Amino acid sequence: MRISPAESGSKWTAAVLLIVAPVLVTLLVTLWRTPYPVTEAVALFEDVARVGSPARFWVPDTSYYRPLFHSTLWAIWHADSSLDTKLALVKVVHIAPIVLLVVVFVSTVRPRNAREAAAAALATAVLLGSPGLRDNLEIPLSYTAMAMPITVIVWMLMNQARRVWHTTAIVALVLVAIGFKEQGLILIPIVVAAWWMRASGASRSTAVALVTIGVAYVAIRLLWRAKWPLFEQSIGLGFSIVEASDATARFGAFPYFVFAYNSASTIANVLFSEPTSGLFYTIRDIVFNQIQAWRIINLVSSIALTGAIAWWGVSSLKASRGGWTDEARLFVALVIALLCCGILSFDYSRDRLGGMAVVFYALAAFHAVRALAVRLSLASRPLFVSGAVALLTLAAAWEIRAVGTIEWTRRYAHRNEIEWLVELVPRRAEFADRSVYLEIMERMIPQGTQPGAPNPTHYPDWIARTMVPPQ
Amino acid sequence: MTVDHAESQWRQHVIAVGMLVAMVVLVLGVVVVETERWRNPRSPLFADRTFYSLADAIQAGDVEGAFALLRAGTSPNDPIEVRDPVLTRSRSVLASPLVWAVATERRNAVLMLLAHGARIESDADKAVSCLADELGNADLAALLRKYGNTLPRERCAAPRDPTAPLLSLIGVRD
Repeated sequence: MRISPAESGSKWTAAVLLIVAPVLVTLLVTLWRTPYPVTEAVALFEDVARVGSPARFWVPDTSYYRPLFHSTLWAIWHADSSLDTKLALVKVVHIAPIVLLVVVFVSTVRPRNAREAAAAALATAVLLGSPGLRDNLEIPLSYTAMAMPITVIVWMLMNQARRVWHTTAIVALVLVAIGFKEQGLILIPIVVAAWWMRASGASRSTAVALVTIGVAYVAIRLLWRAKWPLFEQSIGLGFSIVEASDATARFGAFPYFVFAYNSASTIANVLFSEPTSGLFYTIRDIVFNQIQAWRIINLVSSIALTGAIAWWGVSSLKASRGGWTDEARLFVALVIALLCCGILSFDYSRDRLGGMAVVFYALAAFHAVRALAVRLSLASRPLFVSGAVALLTLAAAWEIRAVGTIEWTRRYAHRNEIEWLVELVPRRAEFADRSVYLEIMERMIPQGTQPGAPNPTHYPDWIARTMVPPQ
Repeated sequence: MTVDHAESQWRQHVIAVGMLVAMVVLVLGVVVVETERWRNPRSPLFADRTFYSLADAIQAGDVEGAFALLRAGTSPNDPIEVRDPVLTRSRSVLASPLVWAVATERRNAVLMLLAHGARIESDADKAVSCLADELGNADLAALLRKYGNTLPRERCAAPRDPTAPLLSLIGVRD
């Protein structure tokens, strides 16, 4: 009996999903059982509880503008349901995009043989093990987590045969992504570039519609520019943190160097897992001889994968001289996503701000590893053996990072639980004049202190240190 | 050296199988650990240390362990038996959980007790800020005065024995 390519693709896609499932399901269960933090969550719920209409969130008078996220929270909060139901629904809004991201990602790469399945499994580990995703798992801050699967879907639509509904779907999806977080904007130049590179599903009308939306968005945001502080949050610079007020005093006259540094930091974090929030922790550890295994694994696996992606990308561009190939388009999209994530994080660098580029980085990882396997198969025996061992090690390193994401999430959960035990007294005093805040906080205490919150696994030290810093 | 098509395919297969095996082994590790977590959640691999005395939990700085005891019914106000080679000179004495948390300089335990039912009513409890001063922990003293309505520094009495501020506070004489 012959197996058709479609059946073969489904079989290997299912196989990859099966490999990913234990890590993904464990991650989702961990997130589901994670208590909401006192910081961020209560204030967010207060914001939506205090207003009678979500219209307030559509006025872009603050430096953060996530109207769809806040409107979603508002709709959940004002529904006629118990607090437990509201909190559960907010978690669903956070968790569902992560499931969707992984499933859509694997479906998009659609492996058709063992070689592609291995590359797809590694690429999915890249997705789950990247700081850009990990930093976006904090409940209930689902801004970028929502935009990430949208990115995969938009990219998939642009690379399919054009359909009448594609323009509407792409525009709607991009609007949702932007509505959840400003980083959704990076989809606009990517769609325009895809159209320019003659991607089959990207039309001129889609590009024109999105450019119009982008211009209008920027113009509206700039109307309130005068209300934005120069530095919104603290910035990491080299080996030290500069608080926002200090940064304004030090760099206010000419902030462009720091802006460029922040942008470059975010890009480098996606590519090399270093620096983190602008801080060169790994280099500092090496200088002071306090090397931590997990940092080295992150740094080396990222350098190796980025090297492979660079080699594959340049090869793809060279091969596309006669006309754009899918792979060359993807490489260009990755470069654009990196640049845009960098530009949008000019004010401060955080791992989560690279989240949108991580999607393209992981997609590129699939193609790069697949191409590398082919290239190695044609090499001399010594080169093949050493290359194969390197690829195996790379796959193991990224899988360790993906598993590490679970442990990081458990640490977030543990931190949140501790917050509910120790932060109540200071907050009762600090927010004494905010009755809504206090009421929500008091009602949320049971969910924050109930037994059974995720606890970091007490692995033997030599295992734990490959994934997370020592406690 | 040239590699024929069959050899190339075989090599690709080797790489793919090797990568998949490496990843599957790690994933199976996750499956084993998570299955064990589900079957035996109280295993030391997953559960934190269990405390049977609030004094021990506070002294260990294990705020969750201390809270677990409160949740199980231990009062945050009833005196507890405490003992420490330095703080109590190896004697067993009774002190309130709050006094013990301050004596052991466990900031988080102090905040947890204040948040979850500890009352500052007795003279000893009102003077915990003075105890923090005596221990040289200005941050803790400030925190207790800010959130705990404890004695300001100017109203603190000098300890009878400056080398044993906890024993002085709870009125135990050598």
